[in-house]
Amino acid sequence: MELLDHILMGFQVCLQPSNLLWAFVGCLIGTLIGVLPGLGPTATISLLLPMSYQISPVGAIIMLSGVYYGAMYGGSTTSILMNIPGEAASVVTCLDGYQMAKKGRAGAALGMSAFGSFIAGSFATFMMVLIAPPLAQFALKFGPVEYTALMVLGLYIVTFLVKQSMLKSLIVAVFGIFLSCIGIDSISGTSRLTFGKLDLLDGIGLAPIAMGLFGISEVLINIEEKAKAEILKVKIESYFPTKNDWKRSAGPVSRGSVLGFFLGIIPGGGGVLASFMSYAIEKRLHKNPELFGTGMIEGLAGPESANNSGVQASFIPLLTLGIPTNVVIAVLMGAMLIHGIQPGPQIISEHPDLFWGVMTSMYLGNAMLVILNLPLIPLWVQLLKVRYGLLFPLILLFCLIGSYSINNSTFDILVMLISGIAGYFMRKTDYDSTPLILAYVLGSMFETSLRQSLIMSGGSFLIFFQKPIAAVFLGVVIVLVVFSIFRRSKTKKPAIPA
Amino acid sequence: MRGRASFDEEGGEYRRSEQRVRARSFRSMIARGHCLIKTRPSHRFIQSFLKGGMDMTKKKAQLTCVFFVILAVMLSWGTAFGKDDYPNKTIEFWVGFVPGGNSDTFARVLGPKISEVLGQPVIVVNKPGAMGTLAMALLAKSPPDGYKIVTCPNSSLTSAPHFEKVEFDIANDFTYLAKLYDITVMLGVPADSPFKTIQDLLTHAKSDQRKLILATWGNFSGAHLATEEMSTYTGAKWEHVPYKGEAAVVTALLGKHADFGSLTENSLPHIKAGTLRPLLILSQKRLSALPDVPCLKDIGLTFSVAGMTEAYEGIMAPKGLPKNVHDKLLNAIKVAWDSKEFKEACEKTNFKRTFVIGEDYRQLVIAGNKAVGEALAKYKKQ
Repeated sequence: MELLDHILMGFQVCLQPSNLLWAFVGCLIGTLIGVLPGLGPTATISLLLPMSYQISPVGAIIMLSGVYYGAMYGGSTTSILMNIPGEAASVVTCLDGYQMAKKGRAGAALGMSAFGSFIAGSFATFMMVLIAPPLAQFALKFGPVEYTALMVLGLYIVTFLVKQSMLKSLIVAVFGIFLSCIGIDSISGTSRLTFGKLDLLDGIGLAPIAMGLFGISEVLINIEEKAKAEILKVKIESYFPTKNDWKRSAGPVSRGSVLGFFLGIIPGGGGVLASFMSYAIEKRLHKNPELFGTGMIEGLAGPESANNSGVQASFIPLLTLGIPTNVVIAVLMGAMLIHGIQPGPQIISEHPDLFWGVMTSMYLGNAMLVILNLPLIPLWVQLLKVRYGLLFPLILLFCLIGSYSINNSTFDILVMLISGIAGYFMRKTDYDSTPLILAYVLGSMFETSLRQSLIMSGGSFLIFFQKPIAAVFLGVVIVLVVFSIFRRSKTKKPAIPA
Repeated sequence: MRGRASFDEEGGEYRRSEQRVRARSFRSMIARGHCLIKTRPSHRFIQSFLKGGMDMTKKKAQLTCVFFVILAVMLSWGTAFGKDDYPNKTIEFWVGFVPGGNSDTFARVLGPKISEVLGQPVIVVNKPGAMGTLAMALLAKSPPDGYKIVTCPNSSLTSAPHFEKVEFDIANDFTYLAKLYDITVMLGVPADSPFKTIQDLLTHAKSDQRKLILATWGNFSGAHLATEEMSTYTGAKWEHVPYKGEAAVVTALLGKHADFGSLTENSLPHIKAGTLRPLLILSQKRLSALPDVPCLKDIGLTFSVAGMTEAYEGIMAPKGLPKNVHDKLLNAIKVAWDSKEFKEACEKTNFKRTFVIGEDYRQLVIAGNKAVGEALAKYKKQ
């Protein structure tokens, strides 16, 4: 079979000692920068670009791709251990992962996150090899209309994340949408809510807000509770996931892999949505959804798998069509260009060694990352035993450096600190900050796509039902809404006249 | 006698002879290591610090503070001194956009080359924000010592100042070093579009049939303004949908969400592969890479697109650079521009290498800014 030939060629390319070495180097660097909050794969790949000129194009792309998905593996480490999300996709990991760490199950959390990511990555690579070109065509069908419908679904998902009070979560979500409006509006070209400040013209960055709301506020809360030292001295139960953990995670990992794969392939926005949607789905499908947020491994395994699967899938439009799905892939595209490989639909025919080599190296890279990360787990877990008085200044230092490193801007540090203080007050008053992150990400995309769609349709809202994919998404939302109304009315006691 | 006092954990005592007992925890490992070396007050301090539970005495707190102060002073010492020659320390090469774009990629090719000539490291720092104007504003406020240079596309100078009050004056706040390459904007359609030539498209647009959808990378961007001028002069009409960036425009075209869109040389791979078809070069000159595609002059449109679709990128420094610094920098940039790597990079991206220095570059930018201002006054109704 021709496909088998291609795969064999791919393995031949990526198993060459030099390419193996580059894959390892990429994964290692990726893991390291993933662990540091803020500094992300984008900046690292651009820093590595000049050094990559010395090596062959295939080797360079293998290494730089390794940095990208390696960073995803590493990013979950700080989320689980210290409640600091490195980027938007890691926020969901904080929810249950950190709670597991507080209960002494950090090892299980880290282990399941690594294994889940590996399984998801392997699944994604397998699917990529099989159906990459037709899948890319599917991704192209997502235009503004389809995006709007997807965002509506995503915003509805926000309601699934509610822990206690629906009203409070909705207030937070709306505030998130409000924050996303700050900056230059791309449709009209005017700036909104910037008060003349140049720093606000591009909006407030998401990473500083996430780091502040989760990481800094956690530190503030812990300092306040002087009994914190005892809480973290909880006995470490096990360094790796137990059999029970595996049983519980099997479903979430499989569902997350599939979900992440299909959402990650959509240019311009699927990735973050994947982890939130996976969390929401697992919560909805679980017997005891109210336990989510207290350290449920399903809430960790699903999103982590979705995340990693999405990352692998985001390479597909680049390698098959020459379109970047997000900023990191755009930098990779630049790297390919400088190495003399024109990204475009002809890559698969003109550079088959690159195409198949990179695909198969992703599988190898995932394996390498699991082997790299697993022995580190006991080391990371020991980190939790350090006295908190020594740990929290380091956490703060990481956050400060991390938030500066994103854009070399001190304004981001300010945003992070303000978010941290705001997050502290929010937690004291029982406002959950997760809906804010999701609404922030979705809000701007929703608004842009909606207005683009309305321009295209000449102002008619019917366009959302005329395009099949959009109609499907909206149909799902309507079905979900009807279901939940139905469920509520069933459980409501009939009014008994006094 | 056991000799030196040894430290312990959990209150028990620990003998050196028992060093083969495996440490149960990280902390006891450190405790063991330290007590094997010495047990001076400083080491006791470290051990007790790590073990925790002991109140930090004032003396220890002061020691820690002093340590950090000394560290901070040492770290900042390096940047304070320097010989009088330029350059004698690292030069920062700012890019006003996130990594992955043209500016960033080219800066990372030029940076090392400039560094070779000047003998000092040149590091590329991304300072994204406000369409590149954040980096320009910061540059305008920087001292003219030649250690901070910026690369920016013309849009940051010709378009962006019209959208937002910027903290710099393009005519007076910068030293224009050199313009390095040109970018051409063109209009293209997906390969299976019914429009084979620009005339087909214009004919359709002038008629009363279904309104066409044009995708560009920003509302009132240079490309959009040029197409508005086209619309005015030809009487053809279409609906404009702004997208974020050229990649989104390409995606929209390939996915048939738009009928035609603005593209640059970045999309030549798609054109060469046959998935996109260029119809018109939005400039008064044809593009050498696409000799068969007509330009504005060829279809009878003679309006100027200065500052709008004649895009370019160059390097700038704060105003008031001393002459020797200016000459050294310019020389380094010229050598970098002539280098093999940069030539190859331009060939791979199909951008046109040009070298326009100093006053000519500045006049180009000022003229472009003025032209965009006039076009905006015509088409922006606010």
